[in-house]
Amino acid sequence: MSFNGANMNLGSIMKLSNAVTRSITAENVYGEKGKGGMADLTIEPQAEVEKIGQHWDGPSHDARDLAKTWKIRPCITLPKQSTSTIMDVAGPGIIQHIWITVDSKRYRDLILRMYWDDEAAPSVEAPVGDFFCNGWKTQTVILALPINVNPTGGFNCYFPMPFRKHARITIENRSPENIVGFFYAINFTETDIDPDDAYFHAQFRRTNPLPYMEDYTILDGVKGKGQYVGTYLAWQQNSTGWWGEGEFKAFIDGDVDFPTICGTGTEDYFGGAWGFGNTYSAPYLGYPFGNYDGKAGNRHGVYRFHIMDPIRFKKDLRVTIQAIGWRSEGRFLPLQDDISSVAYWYQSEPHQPFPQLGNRDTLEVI
Amino acid sequence: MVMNLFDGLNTNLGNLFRLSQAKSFSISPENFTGEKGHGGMAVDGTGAQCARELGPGWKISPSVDISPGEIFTIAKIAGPGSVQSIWFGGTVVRDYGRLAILRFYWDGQEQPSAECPLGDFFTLGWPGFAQNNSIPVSINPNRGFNCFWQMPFRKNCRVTLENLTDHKVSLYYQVNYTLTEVPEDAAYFHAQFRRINPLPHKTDYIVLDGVHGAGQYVGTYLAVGVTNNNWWGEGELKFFIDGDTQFPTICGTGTEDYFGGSYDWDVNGKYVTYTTPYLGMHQLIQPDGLYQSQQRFGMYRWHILDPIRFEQDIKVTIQALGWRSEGRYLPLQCDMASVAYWYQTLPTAPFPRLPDRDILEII
Repeated sequence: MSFNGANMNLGSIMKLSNAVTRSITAENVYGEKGKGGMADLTIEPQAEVEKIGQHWDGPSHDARDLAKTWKIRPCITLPKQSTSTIMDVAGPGIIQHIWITVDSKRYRDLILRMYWDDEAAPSVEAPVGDFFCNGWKTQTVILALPINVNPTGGFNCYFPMPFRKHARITIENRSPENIVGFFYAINFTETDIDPDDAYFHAQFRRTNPLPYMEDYTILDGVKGKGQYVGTYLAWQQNSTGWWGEGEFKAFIDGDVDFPTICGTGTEDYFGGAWGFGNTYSAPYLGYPFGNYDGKAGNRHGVYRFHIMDPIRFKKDLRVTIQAIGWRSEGRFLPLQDDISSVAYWYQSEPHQPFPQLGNRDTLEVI
Repeated sequence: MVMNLFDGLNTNLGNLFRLSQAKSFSISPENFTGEKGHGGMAVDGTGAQCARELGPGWKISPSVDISPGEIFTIAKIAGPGSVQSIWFGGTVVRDYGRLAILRFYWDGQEQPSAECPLGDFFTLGWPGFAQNNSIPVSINPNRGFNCFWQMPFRKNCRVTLENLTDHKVSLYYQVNYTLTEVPEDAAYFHAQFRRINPLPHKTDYIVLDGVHGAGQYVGTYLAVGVTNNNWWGEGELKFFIDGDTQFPTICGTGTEDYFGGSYDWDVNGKYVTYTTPYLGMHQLIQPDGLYQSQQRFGMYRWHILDPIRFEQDIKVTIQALGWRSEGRYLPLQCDMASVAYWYQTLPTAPFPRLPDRDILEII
């Protein structure tokens, strides 16, 4: 029995494996075997809830006429200005699916972080909305393979995330209110992983507005070996007309002045052409959110996942995109737009510390 | 401990975390050779005028112009490696999908292994726009052509585009590839276009024939222009494998059935289009009561999880079948065009001669 249950796809689902399947929700906060839906109708917190440090609301009022096992703790409250742990398990294993739903008003106020193997600095740090390609406080359907957002605001992620010793996932609530009704499920497998399995990373950035004549940095300072696997951009155009002439550039393994990979335009990189003209959401490519009538202030969301064509690097990586529109007389206009991004990649640990995440006001969508 | 045995070729979402010694490169007009660290270096190009006050680094060379009759070399890569994704845009994609011929050559073969009008290759043989959200092919607004067919090569790879129009056309392109060891059992990507207009009465339309080698058939794009009233898609797909002559090994039950639909795609008296990961009837063009006089359909089926394997040869046909009075089948004389997609060992048997421009043209 050699299949470790890691390389899952539709073509491999018939294979038997000794991998073990576990699932974390508010009903089973550590995902332990045979411990789902155990919450009591008492005001005393469950031992596991106390141990993981989550807020205990008491049993669901909705179940007051029923008993234990009747959906007593389907979700959690995220206390204001504090961090809640939603996963804390020992490895080795692989996270295979994550589902989250929360009020869209809070998409930028909630910071998702993931820590592998007891590292101090997170490998994933992004507002929960942006991580799921919903950067504009607006529920947007996403039909990509690794990210799937369904009506009404059901966030799903299928990026596989191996860990060797430990996996910890937290959600920080940076808003001044307690957030009730935070629902989540983290499906993972306990199994041995291979020496060449790298760790999942995601980094958020925002520059608002982009200084004149500057390239927007999607990712920089990466050191290690790995592959770049995706880009999400939340882009507000601050000038009238077409905003997407800028080229995507990937500087790989010591490239300084010039990249190895250079695109031909923003909509080109996201698989479209000629200024889009309509929204779309394809398995690897999407412009799921946007107004394409050229008005200043229009907001756009675009994604590209490099699943079949990962950008591999051996030592370092920097990824940029230019923001170019049009002046009069057919002259390029370097734009000063509001640009946010999530870069998704895998790499060997340790990773370099991320830039300091902007504070709540800096991230806020007004 | 065994490290980095993964060649980086069999990538999918389930193994995306695996490290590999494979290296990533990309050819575009901003980096014609794909050479490391040579992107965006141009000081002259189609964007130079637009960037005249900005200078180098500001999108100086995002596209190329291709003259009437010119065969432009898009990519020339020394192997071993594999093309992993391709994107095309430009006026040629927007306006002349049938009259620009895309060719792929593997390992120095004189004979192309793929020869197709650009539009048909990306499942948009007809003019206009139709979204395609499938796994190997993605068409996005506004006619952005993407494909994710994996195209391994050992010695080298050459990709060209021939401009059959009378116009200078622009081409924007991105060919993403990896250089890595290619396993012994990896076969070569092939694609062949055909068109018969109109199909002679009581003749089977040939999607693919004359293949010699071992491999697997992985997809069909079909563009049908209907020339009769009533339902036109009763015709069966047939796969003649390894010496089958009179009767195929695989025989379908109807055209819409093969493309994963049912009952004429007729939902409440209207054709309904769809685009799914492996199956689609994504393009429907209906008469407008004036000059747009023909009803036209674009369909695809990808055999990704169910490739049709052959050891020596394969022939693929489809019948064009509608209805006469009194419930009798009517062999149709439709405008039929197709692209067959398959992988096989080299050498590639010569393709039938590509029809000339007037035969290719869509009126």
